[in-house]
Amino acid sequence: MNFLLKITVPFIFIIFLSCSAQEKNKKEVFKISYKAETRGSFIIIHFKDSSLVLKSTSADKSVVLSNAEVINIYNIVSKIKLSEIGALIAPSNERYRDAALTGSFIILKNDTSYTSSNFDHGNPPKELQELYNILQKYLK
Amino acid sequence: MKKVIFGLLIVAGTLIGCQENSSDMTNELQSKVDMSDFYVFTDEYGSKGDSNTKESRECHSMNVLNRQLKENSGLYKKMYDVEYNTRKFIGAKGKPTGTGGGGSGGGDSDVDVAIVPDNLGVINIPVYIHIVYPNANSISNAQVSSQMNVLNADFTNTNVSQLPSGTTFANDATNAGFSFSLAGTFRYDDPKASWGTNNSVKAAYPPITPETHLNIWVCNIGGGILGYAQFPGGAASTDGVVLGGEYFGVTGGVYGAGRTATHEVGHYFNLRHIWGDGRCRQDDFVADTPSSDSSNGGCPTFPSVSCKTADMTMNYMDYTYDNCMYMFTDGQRNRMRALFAPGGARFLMSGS
Repeated sequence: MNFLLKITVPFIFIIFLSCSAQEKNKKEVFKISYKAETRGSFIIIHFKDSSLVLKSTSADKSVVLSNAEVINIYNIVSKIKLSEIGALIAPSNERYRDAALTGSFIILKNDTSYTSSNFDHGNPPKELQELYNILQKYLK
Repeated sequence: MKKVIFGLLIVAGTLIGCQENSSDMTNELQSKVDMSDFYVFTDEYGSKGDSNTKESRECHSMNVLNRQLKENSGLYKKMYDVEYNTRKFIGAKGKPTGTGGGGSGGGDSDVDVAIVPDNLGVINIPVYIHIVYPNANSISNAQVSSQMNVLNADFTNTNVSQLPSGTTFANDATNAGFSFSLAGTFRYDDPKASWGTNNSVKAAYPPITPETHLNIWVCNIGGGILGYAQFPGGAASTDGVVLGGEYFGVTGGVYGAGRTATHEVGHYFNLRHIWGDGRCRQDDFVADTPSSDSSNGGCPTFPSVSCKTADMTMNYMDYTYDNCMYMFTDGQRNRMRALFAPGGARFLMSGS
């Protein structure tokens, strides 16, 4: 009995915590859009609630994310200083000579829209790398 | 009493704020901070961490190149020199109306740039074509010559008759004064399905005398890329233009009129994208192209307004369909031709 309590109480506590974290985060983050384009092709990724949608010149895909995956995305976004993403410096400039698609994020949080500076598709600034990677991963 | 009311107001404000989780004022402030070019530039200057901020501000266009310093300091120096020479040439031979050598501004669609007299006449560019496909004969000689014809036409014709009514671009459309002659076509049967944009096709099939010849590789690039170029100042071993076979010469479809090559040769001649690859204040270093904050695609109906002016969507350096792009400007002409003047990065080509 004692042992059971020891296990259950923290477990319930954890569930409670993660649920409240999720609720809190859900209120904060509404929408993420990623767009990459060049002459003749585009890639658009939309994230909203638990839906992740890819539209591109070569393929369309739609994924329903699990709660854990949604929380993961929220947690990653919460680490990004959104007010600064418009001034991030791209680590490479291959798009200047058409050797890469031009990518950018738009993150809508609390009805405020934050647009990132442009970067080469596939090589975002390090501040956006984790978000970029997780979206790519969940679309696979 | 005042304190109490003030306190109540704060509490009320906090409550409302918490409930709705948004406020118009925050929104407005945020969008201003987010969209402001000054913010962008301040941040970029800050990141440089040097003390000559004043100089940087006076020549904000160098800002773009500053980023490349991080990647490759050797390339930075060379491209800086190319840019410096270009401006020196344009500045010495004739100052364009409005802004100087094309540094700042460039936001007014009515700016008219004068053609810089350079005594270079029609500059002929000899071209080597390298066709790299599993069956290299799939790109015919007729397709090659159709591409040569398009290049010759696009770097000569002003096409002002195609301009929609209402533009102020007729006096900007230019005869760039270049001709292109086929110096040789090389075919390589290679089973590789796609070559990417990392210059691997150039490593496999090196350019021939890139100092005096434009080298064009025709291969499947993949990744949704129609073609890519290298700016002057880069390594000779990778100098030239790469084009996907479907977009080489006159083929079919919205990118089948041979103008991917025109756009890429524009880069090869030192032209930037017409929107400057940035927001309104990030310039393409050309004064008579209107300021813009992003590319245009498809075939836009005039006017396509951004940064308070109509975009020149019909410029070869935008991202529109082949049949919807049909002009370079006088300012772009000056920039391109500066490369072929004494001291210019492609001076050796002008005598060949």
